[in-house]
Amino acid sequence: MRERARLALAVCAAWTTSAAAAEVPMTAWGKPSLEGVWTTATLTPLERPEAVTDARLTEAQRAEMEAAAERMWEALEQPPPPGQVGGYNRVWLDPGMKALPDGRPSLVVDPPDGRIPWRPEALAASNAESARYGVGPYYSYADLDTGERCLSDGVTMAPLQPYNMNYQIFQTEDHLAIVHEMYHEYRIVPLDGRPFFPEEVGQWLGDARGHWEGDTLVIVSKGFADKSRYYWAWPWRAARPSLTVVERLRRVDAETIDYEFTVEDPEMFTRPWTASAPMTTDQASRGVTAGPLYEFACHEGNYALPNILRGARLEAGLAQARD
Amino acid sequence: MESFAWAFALWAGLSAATVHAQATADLNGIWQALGGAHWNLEPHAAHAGPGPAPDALAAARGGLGIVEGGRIPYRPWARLRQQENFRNRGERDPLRNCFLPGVPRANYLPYPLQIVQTPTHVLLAYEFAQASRTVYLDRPGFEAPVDSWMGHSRGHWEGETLVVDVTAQHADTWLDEAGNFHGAALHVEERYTLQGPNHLRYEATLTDPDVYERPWTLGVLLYRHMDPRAQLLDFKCVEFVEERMYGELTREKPDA
Repeated sequence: MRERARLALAVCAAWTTSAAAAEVPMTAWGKPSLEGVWTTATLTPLERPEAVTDARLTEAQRAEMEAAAERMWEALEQPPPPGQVGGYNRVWLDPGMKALPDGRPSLVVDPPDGRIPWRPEALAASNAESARYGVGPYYSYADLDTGERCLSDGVTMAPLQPYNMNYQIFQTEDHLAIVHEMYHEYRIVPLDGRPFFPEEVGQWLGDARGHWEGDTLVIVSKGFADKSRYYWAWPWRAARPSLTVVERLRRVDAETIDYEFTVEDPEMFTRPWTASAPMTTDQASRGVTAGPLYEFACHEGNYALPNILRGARLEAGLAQARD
Repeated sequence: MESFAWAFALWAGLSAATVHAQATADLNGIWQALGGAHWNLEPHAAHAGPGPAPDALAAARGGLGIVEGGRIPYRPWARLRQQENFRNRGERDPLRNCFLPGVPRANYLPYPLQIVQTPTHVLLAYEFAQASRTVYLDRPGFEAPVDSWMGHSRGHWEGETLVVDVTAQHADTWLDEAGNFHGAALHVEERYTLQGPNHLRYEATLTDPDVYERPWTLGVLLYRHMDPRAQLLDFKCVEFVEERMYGELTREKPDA
């Protein structure tokens, strides 16, 4: 019955909507629709590179970034140098190939310098983790990062990975569901004002609650599990109890959601910081493959993890034999 | 008079088209099967779990069976394979490695699932292994781009029943813990019908001529979670099976 009522409302709405409002698709119950397949993929980096001092990149600078990405993409077609096994190739990768057209040098918009306001000791720990990537040592599966273990790269829809930066949103009056193509994670966000879980029920992507502020859907996530003992490719995204993430989604036209996220963690940062990563339904405009989400059965096909450990055991055995 | 008849015919036609295309039932909610189907779709008594010294919680509950006619109509070789699977279920059951469960098994696991239903899509989100699948209601011609663990689902409404066609599933999933299985040619037709506000009848007809003598149907009731706080929680089981899967490749870290 409720569906029928919604249908009737939708029909009435369609007859009365003005042309301007029609640019933002609306749900039958009068909220902006966030439904669809979206990507955040882009060449624009999360943080402003230290060498870049311009407030806005010129068109020529953006063209240069995109040309450099094209050259890297072409280089992926080449076989690896002798003695090297090579890495992911163009069959696997699907990176954002376009800089955001507004020319911003970073997705971080606050602080205004476009840099994450790390506490020095947290930055040192993060850099130490990054330095281990692809190097090891590999004693255990826990020496691989949470992404290599097919667990998670953490919350937000920040466009950091070079593939799978696609999201599908489903919307009802009282829930928003977001399916992340990466690791087939999903989040089902209640919009009905219910309280957060007890914090003992720690969750990998946090306990998310949504509410509307005007035309903006605000999702607050806290109650993260403590997975800080694991190795994370992006340590600021690591699940940990001190983290709170606030995401804001505002549909601005048929093809675009203004997506912002604010990261708060007084143990890791000197102040909260905010990044803006516009989401588009026009995947081709970002240079990624257009189409639906595919199933990313990462763990089921994770041959890399045991083979990295096998390689490490073989290497250790050879070293022992030499001694 | 004539014009009235014309208008009436138009109205009736439009109404029929609308009813056909739009959902007539609201399946939104958190659902879960009870009973013993997870351990074996066929009628069975409770039995000990796999392994040399299983404990009480690893044991299977008994079940009356959910297969129409009682038994799955396997081809003779396939029944032998199922029996061998059963004996080796401790090692072979893909769920023990936290692999995606496939369809229909995902729907009667002892873990909840959540349905998020919109006019164009139905999301089936499963607590186990954070599996999910999208049922496309608006793209009947959309063929599976590739095979997958959870298959490719296209649906439509037949009256108050959601009918879902599931194709392109990998052959690697099982149908239950007893080693009941399918092959690469599996085609599943699912039917979801509300029986009152809080019960959802789930039926699946499985066709796979390589493995079964004829198509067969299973049916199970899903119960709505009534706790107003109910939500799917993490069951990211990859973390729980890494020692099982990779433990023999790990070494103690030397003291720094």
